[in-house]
Amino acid sequence: MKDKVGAVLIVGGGIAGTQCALDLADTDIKVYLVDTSPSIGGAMAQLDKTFPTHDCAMCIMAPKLVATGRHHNVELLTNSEIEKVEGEIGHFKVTINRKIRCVDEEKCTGCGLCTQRCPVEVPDEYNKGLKMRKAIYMKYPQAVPPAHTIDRDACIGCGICETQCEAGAIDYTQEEEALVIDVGAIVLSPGFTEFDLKLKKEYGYGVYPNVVSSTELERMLSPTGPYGGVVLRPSDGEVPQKVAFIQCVGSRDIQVGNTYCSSVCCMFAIKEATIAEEHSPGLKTHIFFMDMRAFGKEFDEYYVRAEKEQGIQFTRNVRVATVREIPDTNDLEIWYSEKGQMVRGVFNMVVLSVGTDSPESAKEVAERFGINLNKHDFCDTDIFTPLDTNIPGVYVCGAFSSPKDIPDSVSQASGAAAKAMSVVATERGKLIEKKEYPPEMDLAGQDPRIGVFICHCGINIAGVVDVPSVVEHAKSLPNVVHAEGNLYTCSQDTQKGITEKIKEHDLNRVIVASCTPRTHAPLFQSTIMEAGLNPHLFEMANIRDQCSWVHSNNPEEATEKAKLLVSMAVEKSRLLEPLQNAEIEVEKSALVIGGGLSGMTVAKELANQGIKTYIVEKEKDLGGLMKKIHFGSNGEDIQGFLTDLKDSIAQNPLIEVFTESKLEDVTGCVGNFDFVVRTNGEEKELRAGAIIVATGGVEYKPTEFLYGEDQRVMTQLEFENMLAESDGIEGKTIAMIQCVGSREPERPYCSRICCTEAVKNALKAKEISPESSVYIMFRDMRTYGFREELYNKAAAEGVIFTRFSEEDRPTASVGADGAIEITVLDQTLDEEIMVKPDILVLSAATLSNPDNVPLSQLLRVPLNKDGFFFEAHMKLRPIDFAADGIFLCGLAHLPKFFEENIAQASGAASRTMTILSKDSLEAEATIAVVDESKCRGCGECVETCEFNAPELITLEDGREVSHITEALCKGCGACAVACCNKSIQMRGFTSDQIHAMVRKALERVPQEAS
Amino acid sequence: MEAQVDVKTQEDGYDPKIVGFLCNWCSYAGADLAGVSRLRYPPNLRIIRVMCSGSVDPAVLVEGFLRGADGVLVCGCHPGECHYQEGNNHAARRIETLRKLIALTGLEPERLRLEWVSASEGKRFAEIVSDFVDTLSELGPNPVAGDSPDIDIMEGLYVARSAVDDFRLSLLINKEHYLETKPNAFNEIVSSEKIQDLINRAIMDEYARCRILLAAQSDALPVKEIATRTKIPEMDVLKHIVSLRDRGLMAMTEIQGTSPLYISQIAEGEEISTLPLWAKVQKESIRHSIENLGDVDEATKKWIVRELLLTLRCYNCERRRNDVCHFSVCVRGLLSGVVE
Repeated sequence: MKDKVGAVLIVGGGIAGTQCALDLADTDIKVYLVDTSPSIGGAMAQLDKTFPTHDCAMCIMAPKLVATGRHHNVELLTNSEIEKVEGEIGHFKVTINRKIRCVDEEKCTGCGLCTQRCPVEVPDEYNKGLKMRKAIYMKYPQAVPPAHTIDRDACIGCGICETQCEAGAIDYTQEEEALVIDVGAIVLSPGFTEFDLKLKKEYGYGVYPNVVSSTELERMLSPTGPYGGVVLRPSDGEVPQKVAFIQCVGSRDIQVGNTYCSSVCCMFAIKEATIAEEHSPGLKTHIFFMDMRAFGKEFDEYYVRAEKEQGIQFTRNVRVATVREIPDTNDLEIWYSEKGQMVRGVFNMVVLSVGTDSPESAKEVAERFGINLNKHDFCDTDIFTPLDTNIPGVYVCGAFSSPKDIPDSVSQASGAAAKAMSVVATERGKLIEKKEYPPEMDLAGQDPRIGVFICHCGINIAGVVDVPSVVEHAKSLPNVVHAEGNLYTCSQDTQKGITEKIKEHDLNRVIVASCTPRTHAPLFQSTIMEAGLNPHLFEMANIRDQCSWVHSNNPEEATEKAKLLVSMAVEKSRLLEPLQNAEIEVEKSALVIGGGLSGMTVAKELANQGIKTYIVEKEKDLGGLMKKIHFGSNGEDIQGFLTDLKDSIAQNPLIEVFTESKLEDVTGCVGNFDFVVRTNGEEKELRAGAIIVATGGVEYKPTEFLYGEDQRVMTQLEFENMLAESDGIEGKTIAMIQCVGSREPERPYCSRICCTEAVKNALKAKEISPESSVYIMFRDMRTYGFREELYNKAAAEGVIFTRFSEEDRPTASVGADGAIEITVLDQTLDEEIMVKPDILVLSAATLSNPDNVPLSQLLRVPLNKDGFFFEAHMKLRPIDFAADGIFLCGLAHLPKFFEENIAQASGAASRTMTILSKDSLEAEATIAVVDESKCRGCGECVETCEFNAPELITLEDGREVSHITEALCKGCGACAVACCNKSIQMRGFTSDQIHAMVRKALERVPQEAS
Repeated sequence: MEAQVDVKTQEDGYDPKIVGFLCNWCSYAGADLAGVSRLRYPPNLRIIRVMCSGSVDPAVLVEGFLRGADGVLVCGCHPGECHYQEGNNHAARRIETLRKLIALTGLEPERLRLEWVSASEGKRFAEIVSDFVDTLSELGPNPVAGDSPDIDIMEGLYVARSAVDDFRLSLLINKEHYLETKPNAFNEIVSSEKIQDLINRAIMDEYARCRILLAAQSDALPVKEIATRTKIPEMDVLKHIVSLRDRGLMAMTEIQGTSPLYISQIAEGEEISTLPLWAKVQKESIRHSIENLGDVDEATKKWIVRELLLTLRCYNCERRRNDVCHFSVCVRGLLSGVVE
């Protein structure tokens, strides 16, 4: 057998593909990231804000895109398509068709002059046609790679862009090329396509100008969108006062064949409604929906706030029948049936919450890779292997396997990365070229000798700022021994020039005055390292983004400002010192807390990659909650799977299981956690490089609905056990009550899984005994994704669904005849009904594990108010804690389904590998340091730090002082400000350096004598 | 025929004025030949000699109409006979575009005429002039000439001049020739339908955009009001505003009630892109000033109005923010020689 290839191909560069690429690349696996679009970013890049935190989508996403674009292990193949796939797991040969961009990605600086002069205008897809773009364009300002593209369909080939491009990046002669790559594994993440709204003719999309899609509204809400962030009616540019949202357009709709739920549109609509009201004066929103599917972490609370605090109007349990335009005003009337009556509403604008279709390329992808699609053309997966396709070595993540939101996509992406990693784990690092730098020069005792490189950026800077005069000014500044102007400082030849100038003039500090350090500092730092300088002897002056671009109407003042910015950089540069990154050795083992499905999955995935893993489980048997689940939604044999999983754990020599054990003590930090496990009074001291929290959850024991008083009342898990034994349900009447213990004032969250579990068990009951009658009483039926089809099936098989409201929950009592009597006000019929069930099943809430509280203190990681662990970021870091080296997955994070737990647990393994794949970690260099001679040990820094970096230690002389663990410090500088004695300094941003810049910025310039 | 025209023009006091641009090598020589041959044609044409029809700037042709010409004639060598190879072809494309723009202003495009006249076609030249005079006589006087110019059309002409000066249109017109004769940057032949389609769309768009810029140049206006003033549908006004905001030529000032207000971003004394200073004058101001000229004789009044309309500089800039224009002040300034 030939060697496997230590590279992975990822198809689709949305948020899932990007996360997957970063995880793999961070563990030294070569990644090819292919996207058909000229830039990566996918659908998330079009969002304004994200729910439920209202984070700016681009602000949180851009750093990931930039990191992917710059990662030395990632090769971006944008504008490319998969042509052919051969081979098998371990060694695929993939032919990629690289379409032409007609712009040299290496040379293009993204300055945009070409775009300004291009005479061809076409509708801008990124802005959903609400804006025009040119034939040469960049998809969005933060696009990665930051290069323009010629749209060959629109371009007339007039040649003007070539004359405008100072960088010489335009290349009309580019030809399509076929690139053949070898990879060991493949991850598919092509995302989704929006449902074609024109198919729902009754809503008038494309006919009435003021009927818009939710994604068009999203662009309207964006400050970079067509209307500068204000919602306007396309017909007349007025701010609409009344806006209706119609949900499920292209979702849950047999008529158009999309019988599944798109999972995200409910929350998407609430978010848009909230933000639209904030952005636009007088605008009020009204959301029309069937069920509000707010099933994610803190979603239901968000929904409640939107209704109770924001005052968004919600009309439940309706599907809007038609939308018609009122011709004179372009207003829209909508018709819907409520409690048997046709109701009319008039709105200024109607937003259609567009559903999620399988990606346009689905069939093509399926054919190329040989994978199976489900009947809706999404990738076919099963609950035990949610990340696997039918082809070994080809994995899937993101919306391609089912419609899903960002955090679920990110979890899956990391999970798919783990799957791909385990294929190529043995080849890790073999295809990676490590950049070697010459040894650093010793600068001890030298005075600063500063070189200043001032960029023209074509005419981006020089067109406004008088660069030669800035160069002359720089030469006059203290310690500056060399200054020069460059056409493009970032170009290859200038980079070489800089290293030569460093040697020629014995430079020991370098300043580049050009664009923004956020994107370009790493490049220049790498350049000076090649000349033997420490990368922290570098400073940038931002004279483009923050000077020439914003003062183009005032060249003189812009030039003065540029001079000042350079002077300030010189002031700081004089005080710069070389900084070293501390190295932390990594203990290549992991501690998994909790031995349920998630914990076992993590351990198995880690062991697959050769990592020693300890599982600490408090019970005497592995399995957790899974022990009580018997079958999956489609009848899968859960217990059989559990037995196999437990066997594989038991047989794996790399996994050490401690049952009936408790974690006693944890110290240390990322790379080296020391912990103590107590088993039957015996203590064992161990060390692990990373910790995974997989403590699971527990089922709520109801205190309502006669539970515990009457044998006939049971929870859903107890009922499932009864079903598994197929005993005692023949011909019985079964009633189920949903949201028992969930979505209540004291426990406001949604437990996510109970709706589907109820439907699953109802169907099972019908299967065992078709003559049994089953009632499900619910508030909102939250069978999201393809689970909707189970709901449809249950309704078709005669399960009776009764909707109750928050105010009128069902009541249970025992009647005179001894029967249980459930009365409930049916919202659809507006009538009270009574059921006398033989069995009453309560869909009890899923609670957080009570052990989470002491564990959160032991690990110093946060919990949310419901006792679930609180991740580093709700959207983009669903598996990480803010503290490095500790991860979470499964029900410890929030209640979720079997397959979701497996995906997230695999993801936790991948995140863990970003640490454990390395022999040593490099700590940040720009971190805080304590001057122990000044520190008085007050502990303010310890209080302030979010990352547990400072701690109080006792010195030999008995004094208590603060000590900052380099590996934990993120370099935010909060402690330095909090320090009562100014004994903490932030390296690279010391108070001396900042003061020097402030003094310079505010220096009084003597008035010239006139 | 000729006699009839004479009668009509005398009755109406209307005698069409034509400005003609004749190329040195063919048409000017052709006109000379008409003279040498003593071929009579009406005296309505004032000829300006240029070296090539391709050297005539469309903006100058618009200027002719603004200065009161009833017709503008451009004559060049026959296709394929240009002294400078391609000059006449350039002229043809530019004038075609200009004609489309002029049609948008409400002025009859027939008032702009391009003809090919060789050095040997004296007779043809005389016939063209006679025919053009006939056409113009039927059309009647240029609506922007005279004492009470049609301000809407006048505004439209200024807009047309801006649009034709705009980089996008002028670039497309220039490239049209290149692309029709040679393979493009990709070494492909572009279909002339594709280019024509693009140019036609650009004409409509740029004309509309300049109109919008003019309408909202001194007061911030809502979309509805801009649409009323420019007679462009509201939906299109919004789309153009999006593009103009993108180019930095327009900004939203505030939201009044439910209506965002937009104002053009052309700073005084600056010609950022295409829009010259004339945009600073409102047509209401002009009307106002005509009514308030007071005790000056008719001839001076006409002269002042014309000068104002043509130079179109607001001499009362300090008070420009006021609703009432005090144009009469600067008229006095003009008369007294205080204002140049």
